[in-house]
Amino acid sequence: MAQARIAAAAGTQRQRVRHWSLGDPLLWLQIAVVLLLCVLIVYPAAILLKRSFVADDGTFSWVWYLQAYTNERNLWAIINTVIVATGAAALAAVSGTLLAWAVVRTDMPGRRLVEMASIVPFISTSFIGALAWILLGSPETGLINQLWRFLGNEDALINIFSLEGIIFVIALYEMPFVFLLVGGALRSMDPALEEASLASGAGLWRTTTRVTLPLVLPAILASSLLVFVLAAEQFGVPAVLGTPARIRVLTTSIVATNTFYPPQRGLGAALCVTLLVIALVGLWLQRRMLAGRSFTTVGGKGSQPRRVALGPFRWVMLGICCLYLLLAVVLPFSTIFLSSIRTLWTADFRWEQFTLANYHWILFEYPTTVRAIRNSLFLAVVGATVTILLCALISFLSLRTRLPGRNALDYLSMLPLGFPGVVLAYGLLQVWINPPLVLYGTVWILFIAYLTRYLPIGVRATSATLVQIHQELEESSLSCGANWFQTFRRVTLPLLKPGVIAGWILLFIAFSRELSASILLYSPGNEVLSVVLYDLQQNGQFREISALAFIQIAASIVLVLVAKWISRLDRTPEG
Amino acid sequence: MSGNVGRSIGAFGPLGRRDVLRGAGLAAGAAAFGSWLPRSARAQETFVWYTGLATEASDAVSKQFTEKTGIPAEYFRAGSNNLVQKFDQERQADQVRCSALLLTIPVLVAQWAKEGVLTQYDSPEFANYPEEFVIASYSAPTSAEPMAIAYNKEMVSAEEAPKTWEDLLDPKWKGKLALTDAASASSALHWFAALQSVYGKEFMEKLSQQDVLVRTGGADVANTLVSGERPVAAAITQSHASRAIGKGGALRIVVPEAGAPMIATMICIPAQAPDPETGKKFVDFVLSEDVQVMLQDDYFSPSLRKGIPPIKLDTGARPLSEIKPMASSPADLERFQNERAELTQEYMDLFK
Amino acid sequence: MTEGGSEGLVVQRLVKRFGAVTAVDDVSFRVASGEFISLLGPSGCGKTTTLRCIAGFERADGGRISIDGAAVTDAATGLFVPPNKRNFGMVFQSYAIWPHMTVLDNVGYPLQVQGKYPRRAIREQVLEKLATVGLTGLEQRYPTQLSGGQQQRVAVARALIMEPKVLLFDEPLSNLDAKLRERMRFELVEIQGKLGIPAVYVTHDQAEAMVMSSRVIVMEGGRIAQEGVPEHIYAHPKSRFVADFIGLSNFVRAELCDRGANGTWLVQSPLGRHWCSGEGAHRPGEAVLLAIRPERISLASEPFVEGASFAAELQSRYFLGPYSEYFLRVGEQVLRAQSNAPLSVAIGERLYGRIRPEHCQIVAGGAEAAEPDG
Repeated sequence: MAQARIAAAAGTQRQRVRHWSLGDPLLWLQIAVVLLLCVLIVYPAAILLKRSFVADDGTFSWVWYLQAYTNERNLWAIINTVIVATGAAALAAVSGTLLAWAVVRTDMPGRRLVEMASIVPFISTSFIGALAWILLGSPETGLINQLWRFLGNEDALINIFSLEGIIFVIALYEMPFVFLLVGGALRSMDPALEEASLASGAGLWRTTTRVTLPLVLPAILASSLLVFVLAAEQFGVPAVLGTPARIRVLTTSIVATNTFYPPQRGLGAALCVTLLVIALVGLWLQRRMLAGRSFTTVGGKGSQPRRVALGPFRWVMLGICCLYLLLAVVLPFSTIFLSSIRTLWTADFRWEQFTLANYHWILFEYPTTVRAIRNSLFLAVVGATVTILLCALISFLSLRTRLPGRNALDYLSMLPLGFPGVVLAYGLLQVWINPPLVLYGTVWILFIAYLTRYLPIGVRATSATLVQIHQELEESSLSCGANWFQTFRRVTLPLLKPGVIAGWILLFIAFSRELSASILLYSPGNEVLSVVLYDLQQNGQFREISALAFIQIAASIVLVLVAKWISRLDRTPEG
Repeated sequence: MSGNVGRSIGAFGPLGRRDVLRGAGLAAGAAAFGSWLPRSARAQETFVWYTGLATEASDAVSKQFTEKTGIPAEYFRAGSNNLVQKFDQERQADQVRCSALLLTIPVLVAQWAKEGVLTQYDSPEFANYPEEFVIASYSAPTSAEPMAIAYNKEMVSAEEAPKTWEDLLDPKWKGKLALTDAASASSALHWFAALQSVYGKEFMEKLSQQDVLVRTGGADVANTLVSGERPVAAAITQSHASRAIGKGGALRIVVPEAGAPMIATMICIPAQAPDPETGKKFVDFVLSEDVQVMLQDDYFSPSLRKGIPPIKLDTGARPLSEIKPMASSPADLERFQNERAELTQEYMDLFK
Repeated sequence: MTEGGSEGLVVQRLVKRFGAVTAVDDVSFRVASGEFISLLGPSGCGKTTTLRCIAGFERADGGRISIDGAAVTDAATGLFVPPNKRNFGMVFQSYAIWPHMTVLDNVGYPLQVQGKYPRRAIREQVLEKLATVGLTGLEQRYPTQLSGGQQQRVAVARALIMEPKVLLFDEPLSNLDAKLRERMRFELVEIQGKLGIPAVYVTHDQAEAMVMSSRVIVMEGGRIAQEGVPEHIYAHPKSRFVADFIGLSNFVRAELCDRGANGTWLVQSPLGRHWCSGEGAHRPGEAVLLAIRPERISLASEPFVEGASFAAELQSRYFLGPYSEYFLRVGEQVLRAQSNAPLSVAIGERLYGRIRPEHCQIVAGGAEAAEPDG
């Protein structure tokens, strides 16, 4: 009797998750979430698009696009954006693939150390990297150039204030994306595919070029297109390295139209749409690349791939890898540290120039920093928490229900991937500065921007975990008479915990250093750390920036270590 | 169907003891965190002012004001152009946070006064300032100074150094000049407009071919000179250069005999100010003799206040009385303000 | 090159260590031209490592490998010919068909990399080999458009195209479904037979090894446990391990009583006093282990007139189609027997079994406990 009743209840409950009716609270929740995402993502984009086609007198017009594409400076901004993005993608693809191959497939000594360097982008950002490289590569005063002159040369060795400098710094810090993706592909490749080539009489070189590289080519292309999009979105690096050399890219031009007095909103919108198109084309190509040519080459035996014996060349490879570490980590970080404890940044080092005053100033005397730390922490803690919970809900709705429109939900939540931070912010600015709900001037507009911009990261983290949780675990909860809310709270959410924690940490780190949207959306009193860094740079206060950057790097290292520790804690019960 | 809804509502309760405890814990945590919330997320209680002055000067003014009145004060510093743009966005959003504003665009302040953007306040201190600089019932200058040339004296000898604006066009300075960015600092835009109106467009065209390094703010330009990145600044406020010298930088200032564009910083109170009363106290405070002396002596911002002895420095800097203003009359300023968009565009096309 | 006796593949005293583990321990064998041998054993027995040493994917720590008289690996002299210079064809467990190349490019690759054949000649060769493996008309397809069996054939065609001196198979059929696997066994043997080159086939499937090979090498713990033609190994397993790994066996503990003629022994076991066969040196009174194949136990409801029969109790019976499976209890011992003879004995009733001496084999490892069934 009792059993029959439970079974009957299970039947109806199950139906309620699988199908839908107007009385279903899940349906209304779904509608609410879709509407929220529309307001967050689609509406600002639409406003932006409209703005770019409306002249100052309110009529439809191409005037802004005309201005964007005929004015030499704006045209160069577009060309430079493409050059920077392509150059960074190419450089990152070549160096990332080489390093991944060296680490995964050769007997190079110190492979593990090089692999550890893949967490560099989590510890530093390309923006801090750019700040450090100004100290290293300024044509006159950069340490490298001073050394070069000391060695008896006339001219500067490098000029970091150049297109090449921008490409170099972006590639340096985005390269790990290529490294990780290609390394993963190389690692999961069936070693028999290469052995078959050797058995066919092909040598190492031919096997590498004809078999290994073509097989990981989709990974190389996909990751370098990702770098292309990330480089096109970059604001911080071109802002600090390009501006002194009069090199404009789209992001800096867009920000300039807004910081101008009077602001040129229409032109800004037209430039935003242009950047949006570039980013979307890059992402579209990347998707095609992944969809069309994904070779599932995972080995049947889970065997270790063969390592290529490089002979004496392994030391050359190690040298190349060490050079990367030197350029990306050792030199910038030590320069930042040195600069942060000195009174004047000049070439001759005297003991009386060493001081902790920069730290004291930045932490205790400069009120904006204190404010910014407070704001950044608030946004990172509260923002990451709210975002990851929303993401878990979105994942649940799109993966675990049969409600209408769940595909739209999935698509909407991935849409911000194609939105450069500057473009998103520009759209949000137009929306939230006007009644009925005015969020400009508050910290909440930053909150919304971060949430929207990093929604895809959170949804990916949570849905990747959710896919691994067998649906029967939830269905058995339903069969026990729990409704969807109890099931979500008692079964789904706890099982999702590892994914949620991992996603939260990713979001926390991302939120605490976001710059390209913040630069447009912050208002006095609502500064965040990255904006303070940027402002201090604009002000030329390098020693103070160095102190703040060093603090940020140190905090990030601690956070990454804590994250690793937590993820290890999470894994212990299983293994 | 209604049964389903009923059941799902029932699922939210009843609350167990653990739920209550957990809820209480969360609430306590939230409250603890709430005290750490960003200011704007809570009610406004701090006096906020926006400033185009240098960071150190702003900092000192803010701290002394708090010391004197007991009112906690916060400032936001940016280049005047950025400041105006942020302020405009705040006005549009009706989210003005500042109760006082220091700005180096006197004409704009005058315009705002007419348009009702500012709170009317006739400070008793206004009387201590030259009438031609005061915008009656609204604003007075906190300082005035020239845009000057500066050079690193360890790299450039006094004989070699440029002495006039035209000297900057000498081919020997190609690749040696630095410039404050007129797109963000309105002082530099005024310099651009003034020199262009006196020496003609060709002057700026030639200057732009000297491979000039554009830096965002005056402090940035000063650093560029001190570090030796570029030995000569084509445009820097005298106070920024003076402060760098005060910190030990080997710089020297040149205010050309022919004249220099003059920059005045005005103080005013926005009409939408959250705390206009404290704003008024602040205006009185900044214009007071003590603060003016401090700004002039410690931060090299020359005061216009009557009765304050002129600044005395062996740095090449000059007191206001010895400088011939260049294209800086109210009429000039108004003309430049009206052409602001075009001027900025011209500047951008040449230098950025 | 082709002196008498040096043709084919010769492996001498091969040793391969991975750290502290010796994966291949002093393995020697010879594969003559046209011979098809299997390396058979459970995972970790060293069979794949042996194959990979022959291929040159692993570098041997000791021993010598030669193909047609020419050494390719000689640990003593440090000689090591890299895999791409050894001229062997290999079929991998995962097929290792390159997903980014068409069937034509996959199969033609070994000729392409030699760089001395024109495209047209390569194409002709490929089409011919595809015809051999029954894939005519599929040369423009990509591997993802092929079934598992077709991919398998592509791999075979690729292994054949450069007319290798040796064919190596690394469990090539384990990813196919049962029906296809059985068909491919015969096809592979047929193709190899036509070529007349030595073939080494690695598998853990004893049925596969016995069906395909002219000779089977059973490996255990890196050493060769037994080597011989399939029939002999099946009938006369040397050790408990071999008897256990190949086919099903009952193991019965016994004590040797007396030596008979032609390597036969009279033993005392739970089945009574009976004759069995065993090679090697044994002494009366020695405790040994007997291996008895289930299908070699004759069953009847009445005691046998001829030969030694034993009485047992029928514990259970399972009908399997061609024959029935019987579980018999003899004292403490449970025996498994397979018979297709009609037998009307109810569960729990008494029946009789008989084992011929030649089907009752003394195996090494007699000290270990005998378990009820294989």
